[in-house]
Amino acid sequence: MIEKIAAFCMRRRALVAGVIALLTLVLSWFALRIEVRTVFEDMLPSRHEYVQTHQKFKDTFGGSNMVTIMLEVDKGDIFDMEVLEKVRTLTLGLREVSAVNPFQITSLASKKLKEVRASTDGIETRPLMWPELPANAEELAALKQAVLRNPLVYGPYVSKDLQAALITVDFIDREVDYTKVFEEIGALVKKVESDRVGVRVVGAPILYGWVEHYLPETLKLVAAALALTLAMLFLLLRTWRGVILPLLAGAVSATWALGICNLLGIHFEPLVIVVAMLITSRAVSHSVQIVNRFDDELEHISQGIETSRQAAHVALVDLFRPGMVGVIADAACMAVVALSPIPMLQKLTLLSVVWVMTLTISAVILTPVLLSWIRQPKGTVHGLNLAPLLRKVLDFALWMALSRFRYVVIGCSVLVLLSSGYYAFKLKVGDANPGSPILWPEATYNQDSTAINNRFDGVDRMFVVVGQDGKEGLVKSNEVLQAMNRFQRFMEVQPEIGGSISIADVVPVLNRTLREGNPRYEELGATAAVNGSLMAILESVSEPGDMDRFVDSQAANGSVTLMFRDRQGATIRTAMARVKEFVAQNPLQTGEWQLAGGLIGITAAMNEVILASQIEGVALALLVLMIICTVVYRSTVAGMLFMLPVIISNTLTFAFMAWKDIGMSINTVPVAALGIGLGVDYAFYIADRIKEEIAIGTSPENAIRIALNSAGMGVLVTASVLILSTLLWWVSSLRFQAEMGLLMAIWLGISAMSALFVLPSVIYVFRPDFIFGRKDRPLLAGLQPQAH
Amino acid sequence: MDRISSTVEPELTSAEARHSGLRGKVVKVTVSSIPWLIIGGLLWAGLFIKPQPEGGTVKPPELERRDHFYGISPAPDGGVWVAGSGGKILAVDNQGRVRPMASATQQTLQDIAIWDGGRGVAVGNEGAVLITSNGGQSWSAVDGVPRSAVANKLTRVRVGADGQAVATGEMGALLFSKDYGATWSRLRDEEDVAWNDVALLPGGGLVVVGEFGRILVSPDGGGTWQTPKVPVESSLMSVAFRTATDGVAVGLEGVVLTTRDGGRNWQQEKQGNHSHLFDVAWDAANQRWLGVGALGAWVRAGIDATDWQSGQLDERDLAWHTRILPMGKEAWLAGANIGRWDGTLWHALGR
Repeated sequence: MIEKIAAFCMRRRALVAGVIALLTLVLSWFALRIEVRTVFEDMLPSRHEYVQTHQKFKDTFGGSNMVTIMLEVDKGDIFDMEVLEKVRTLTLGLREVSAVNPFQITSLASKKLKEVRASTDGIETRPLMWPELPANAEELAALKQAVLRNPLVYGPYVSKDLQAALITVDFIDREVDYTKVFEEIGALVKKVESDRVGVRVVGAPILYGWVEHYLPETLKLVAAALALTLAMLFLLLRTWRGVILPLLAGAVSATWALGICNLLGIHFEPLVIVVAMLITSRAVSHSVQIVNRFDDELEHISQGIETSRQAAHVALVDLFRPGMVGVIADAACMAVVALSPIPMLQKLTLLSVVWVMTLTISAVILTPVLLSWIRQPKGTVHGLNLAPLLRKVLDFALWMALSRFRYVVIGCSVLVLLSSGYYAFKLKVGDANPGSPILWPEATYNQDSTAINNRFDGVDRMFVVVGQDGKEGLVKSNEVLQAMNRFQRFMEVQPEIGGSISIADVVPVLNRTLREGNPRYEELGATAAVNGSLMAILESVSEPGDMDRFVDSQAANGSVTLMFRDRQGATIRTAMARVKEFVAQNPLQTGEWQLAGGLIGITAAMNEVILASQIEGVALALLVLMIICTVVYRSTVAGMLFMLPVIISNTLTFAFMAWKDIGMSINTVPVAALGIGLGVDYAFYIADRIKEEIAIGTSPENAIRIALNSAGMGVLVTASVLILSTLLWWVSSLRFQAEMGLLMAIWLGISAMSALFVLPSVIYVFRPDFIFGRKDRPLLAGLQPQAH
Repeated sequence: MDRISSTVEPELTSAEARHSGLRGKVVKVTVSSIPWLIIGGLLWAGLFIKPQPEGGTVKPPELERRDHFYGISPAPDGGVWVAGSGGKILAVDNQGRVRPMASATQQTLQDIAIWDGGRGVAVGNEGAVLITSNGGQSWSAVDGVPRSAVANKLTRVRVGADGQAVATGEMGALLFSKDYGATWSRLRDEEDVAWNDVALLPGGGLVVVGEFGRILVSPDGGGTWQTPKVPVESSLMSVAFRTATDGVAVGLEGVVLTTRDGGRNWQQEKQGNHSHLFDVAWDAANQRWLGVGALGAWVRAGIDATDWQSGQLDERDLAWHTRILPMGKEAWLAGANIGRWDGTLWHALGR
């Protein structure tokens, strides 16, 4: 079968190359048109309880795309015409930003923040600073007093030290385009920023806006990594084919993958460039293996016209199986991620599976086909020969495998496996640091986030809904108001929750206002009658939309919004556990608690989904790998053998993540999943070569030596080249990419090491049948002294 | 099913087979079933192990963010007792260490006061009255307190000699006890006015202040009542006497009234701060009058109560306070937060 395919490819090499070229040309047209953007909706596991609550209420109680803008002064306070003017300019300007929900702009200068006044004429509410700014010093002083008296403003929208004012704005999720919003808000901010007044901006659109802002830099890094890879290949392999063919393999599969995905309607997330790099590195690896094998074969073939074609044919035949198995194993392990209910991961999985599968053509077939045209196969381009250096490493690997030291290697591996496996359980789900893990701590965004968290209750929000659809006015009931109040009190005990707000906070303020400002009445009414009349007064003095932040239009559902100072995994887990604890202990007679919307709510949902599928992902990927190996080599032992390097590189990488506080999140899951398949490629090439050599009658020691010197050389070259080029990512302005680059480098390093140093020892010690054949096979009969 | 190795295994299996064929078989089966066990295990783990999130535990602090402490009294053993939201009663020592006391109500407490000998009383919403006779080790709710059908918030309680106490509150509540708070009776009939504070004068006189600038004076401990003319109409929140004749009342919008004849005549004093004032006290140790109120406001005057100064506790702390309790060189304040003030520096507790 393999022989037939190879023969066909060589015979019709012009046709094969032509078809591939044509397809590449066509697909490149689509590939260039692929959309590069982040779609927040895609990150949501849509069937999760929290996400359903979020989707249902986000337009009323605040979505996950809320942007928070803080104006701050170093000296004096914000009650100064210059600052208030800027607050107003920003507030009005925000209406023009694309996809803004104009009803969800809240600041001192919006119509929403009002003062309730009780006087002899009755009760009136009026906006604090809308539509006009204070006209004179008295009005300015009156505004200050009004703010100070109002706990719904003083604290949430004006900082306790009066040096900062907040503007919050929400977007219509379906329409929001992060790059646009980022640029438009950036332009607005530039207009008002001055030496005296600093402006800080945070929120999901801003965060992803920053990611897209760094896209050019990221592309430069991609180019640099590529250049470094090629330069290293040139240096080590000393042939043009060793440089151009891997490059071509990578380019062809990238074109195909992006083109096909564009046809399938999948867009490209800037954050997953790392995954793209990872897959391209596979393409380079496979291609280098083939070129390497080609070079090996050349040495054994006598000079002639057909030399190249013959060598290419042998390379194709011999590497078809390990190459294919490697590619399929990669794809299958990655496919397991599609079980995740998060659309972004499903799409990413599709992209990766398609991409990886294209390697079967671009690397496994195209490279040998092109090799067959090589005119002058012998000779090198430059004189610097680093091969002896690499051979020393391989000789060391050989010595480890064949000497007594092999038992030490196996023992150490088991030890490393167990200890890293134990440590890997410390891997956290969710962000492990305050601020956004996507950016460095000193990035503007994280600095802004810290600054706002220092002055206010917290940037990131979660809302919990209490009520029941159809029960009009339920939120006005005594029971619900009291429950909300108790809930807020209960939740605020957690130090990471800076504060909370609900309709149950508005009622006490009104109550106090009606009682001449006497703080002894800053509480909910004692009876349903009192609260009912307070709510009626509130309604009579407020305009439609005023209470939207707190209750829906029928007052059937009300929200409690919790402000979080950080969104670390542990913070969110604790908060959710406490919400559930409270709900369990405080059942409502009518109505129910619905968890949980806002950025923190959906982050909690994502974290829970990722946590629940963490074991599932790893276990099923290993299962798939084992089944593939079992089928290909018709041996369950093969499955066990190849799992070894995979498990070692997984546990070590997870342990590293745990050590460096890199949490398992929606951004890291794809890399981790792809890594499972990644660990096995190198092992395939080496084990397969040993198997081949044994099959033609070579002694085990010789087989291992040959395998290490040919396939091992390929592993060593590609691993060192790719490790160096992925380490380049460390200079990225995006912390996520830097860390993922490091992670990939480690992954590549460990899997190469386990393939070079551990696997040969294991094979030599345990002598599995699928490599060494049955003992009754005459070929091997004389190789081992019989024990009988 | 295949074996791990046929070149290595025979050494084991044949050696064992010599001892027992059965055992050899068992070993063989065990060895060759390992891969299948792994496959089964992975399948099982993949399908059935779903880790659930585990939250950390959080211990609520003694001083919670939403707590209001309306009442404060000296503690029998130094420091202070404070009472407030949700029936919370805390003992705070001079180092600022906080210790919760077992309360007997969920109702918000508005005031707390103590007699000598470890006896104390606290009053609050819904007519709640708690007493202790063992220095606060236990508090018990008092039954049979006179109630109104309309509203029953008790806002202040003042104690006098021999277990006397007077509590003021909504719907004309003016409740009297002479047995350390065990039983209570009305001094006046129910009426639609909230009495905010009462002063117990040496000699048994009472001066009561309340809503809409109303003042009541009783020379005989509640037997007869006089209603003096008051120069303001805004609500009076607190009253305190230095002697049987010299007293000060404070109220909303920064009103300060003084009397020199036991409450029969009142004059309004000039004072620069127009924030609401909620409490006034005579600081005997430092020979001065002290008052506190909304937005961190304080007022201060000398022994004559004519030279009123005013200010803000701290630029960055605009919390309201309903009580001020002079103690030594300092004064304790209770309200939206608790803290100590020495006339210039303000130290809030806990936050």
